[in-house]
Amino acid sequence: MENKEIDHISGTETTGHAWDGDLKELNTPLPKWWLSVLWVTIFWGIGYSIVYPHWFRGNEVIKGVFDWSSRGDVENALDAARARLAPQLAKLEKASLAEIKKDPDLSRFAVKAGEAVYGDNCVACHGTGANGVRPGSGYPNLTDSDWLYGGKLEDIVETIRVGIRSGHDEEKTNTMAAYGDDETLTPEQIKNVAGYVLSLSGETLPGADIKAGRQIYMEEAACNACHGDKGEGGATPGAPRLNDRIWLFGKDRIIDTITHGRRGVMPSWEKRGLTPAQIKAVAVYVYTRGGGQ
Amino acid sequence: MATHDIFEKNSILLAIGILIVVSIAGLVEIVPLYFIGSTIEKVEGMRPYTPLELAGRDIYVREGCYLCHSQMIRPFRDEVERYGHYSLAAESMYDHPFQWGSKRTGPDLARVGGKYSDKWHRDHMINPRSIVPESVMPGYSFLASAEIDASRYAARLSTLNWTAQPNGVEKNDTGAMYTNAMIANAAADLKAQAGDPDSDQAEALQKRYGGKINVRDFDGNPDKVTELDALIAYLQMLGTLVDFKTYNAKANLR
Repeated sequence: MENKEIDHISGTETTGHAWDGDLKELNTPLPKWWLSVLWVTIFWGIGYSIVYPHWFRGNEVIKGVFDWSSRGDVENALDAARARLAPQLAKLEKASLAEIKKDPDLSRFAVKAGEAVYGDNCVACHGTGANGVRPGSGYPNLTDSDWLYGGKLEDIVETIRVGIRSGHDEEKTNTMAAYGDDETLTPEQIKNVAGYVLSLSGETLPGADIKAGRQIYMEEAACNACHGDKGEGGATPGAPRLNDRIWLFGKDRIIDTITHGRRGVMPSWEKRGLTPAQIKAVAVYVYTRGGGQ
Repeated sequence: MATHDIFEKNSILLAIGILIVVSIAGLVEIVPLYFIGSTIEKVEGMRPYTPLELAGRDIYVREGCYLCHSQMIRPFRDEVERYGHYSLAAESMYDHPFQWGSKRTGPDLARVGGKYSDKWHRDHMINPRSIVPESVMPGYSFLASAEIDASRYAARLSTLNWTAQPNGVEKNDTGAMYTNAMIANAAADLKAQAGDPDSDQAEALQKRYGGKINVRDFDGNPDKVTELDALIAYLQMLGTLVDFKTYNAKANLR
C-alpha cells in the first residue's frame, strides 16, 4: 500500500482507486464502538460453540461444556414440574372420595388438575361444560345422572382408564345389535318397539302399536335382558336407562338406533399416556360437575 | 493494480466467485446433517404409509390442512403436556414433503391418532361447529361423498419409491421402501383397510406393513371407500407408530 493518499479536505485516507480519471473514495475507518461490538460477537460465538453442542467428531456431535440439549431441557422441566406436584398427586391417587371431600386443599387441587386434563383431552367430545356437546349428539352428557358404566368415582376412574371399544385389554363394551340391518325385526316391528320405549317416559310415537312393541321388547328382541323390564337400564354394563327423558342418540332417532345399532367409542386414556393420578384428577373433576353418584 | 480487478471487470467470474463463497456456509451447515448420528436417529415402529393412509395424506395436503394445523410437537413442557411426547425427526421419515407446518390456528395434529373416535372425526369433518361450537374450521362434508379411485395407488406407490426414499432405510426387493407386493396389492389393500378387519386381504395388509394398522369402516358407510375414509384413516394413525413406553428418551438426548 505504497500509494497511500490523504484527502486534503477531510484529512482521511483514500482507497487508492480512481474512476473516470480522478473520482476517488475516502477510506473512512469504522467507528471504534462498532468494531468492538463486532469482535465481542465473534468471541461470544466461539465461546457459545464450545459450551453448547456445535462441533462434531466423526459422526457424533460434541455435547458442549454445559452438557445442554433441547430434549434434556424439556425432560428437566417436566421432572421439575412432576417433583413439585408429586406429593399432592400421590395423595390424590390414594385418597378415597370421602377423604378428598374432607380435605379442601386436596379437593381444590384435584378439581384444578382435573380441569386441565379435561381441557386437553375430554373437551372435544364431552363439551366445555361437560354437557356432551348437545342433547342427542351421541356424546354423553357428564353433568346428568345417567351413567352407562357407573357414576361412582371408582367407576368413572375405571371407564377413563380402559375406555370403550378402545383396543385396551380390559376395554368396556356394550352390545346394541342392529335389529334392522340383521333383519331380526321388520321396520314395522321396530316402529312398534320404538313407540313402546318412548311410552316408558310418557312420550308417544304416532302410528306405533305400543302393545305389540311391548311384546317385542319383552320377548322377540328381548330388549329387557339389557335395558330391564321397566326400561330402567343397567342390567348389563353400558345399557342405558330408557324410562327417563335423556336420549344419548336423540329421541327422534330411536328407530335409527334400533335399526343400525350403536357402537360408541372412547379412547383408553391409560393407553394414551395419562398417569393414574391424572385419571383420578379428571374423574374427580367430572364427578363434581354435578352427576356423580 | 490490485488482484481483485479480475473479478470487478468480469461479471461471470464474479458470479461464480459469489456462488462458491455463499455455498460454503450451506455446505458447512447442511451436509453434516446427513452424516451425524444424532440427526438420523432410528426408531422402532416406523413404516411406510398404507395406500389408504397415503390417500388421506394426499387429501390433507390437497385441502391445505397444514395451513392451520402443525404436525410437530416441539420439546417444550407446555407442548408435551398438551399434545404428548415431542416429535422425533424419524417420525416424519416417510413424509414427502413433511407436514410440520408453522401455524396453529387449529391444534397440533402430530399425535391426534386415537385421541377421538371415528364418529367424532366424521361429525367434525362434516360440520365442525356441531361438535366444537367455537371452531373456525371449514366443513369438509363433500369428502363423505367423494369416492376414491383405488386403481391409481399402485402408480402412486411406485412414484414415491422414486421420489421419497428416506435416508438410511432398509431397501426392499424394489430397491426402495415399497415392496413389489405392496405395489401389486395397492388397490386391494386400500379397499381392504376401509372394510372388514377379519377379511383375508386385511390380514395380508397387516402382514405386509408389519401390523398396527387400523382396519375398519372409518366413515360409517360400508358401501364405498370415500375420501373421508382415507382422511380419518390417516388422522387415526398420526403419531401412533412409535411406542413411547419403550422409547428411551434419556439415551437419546440431543
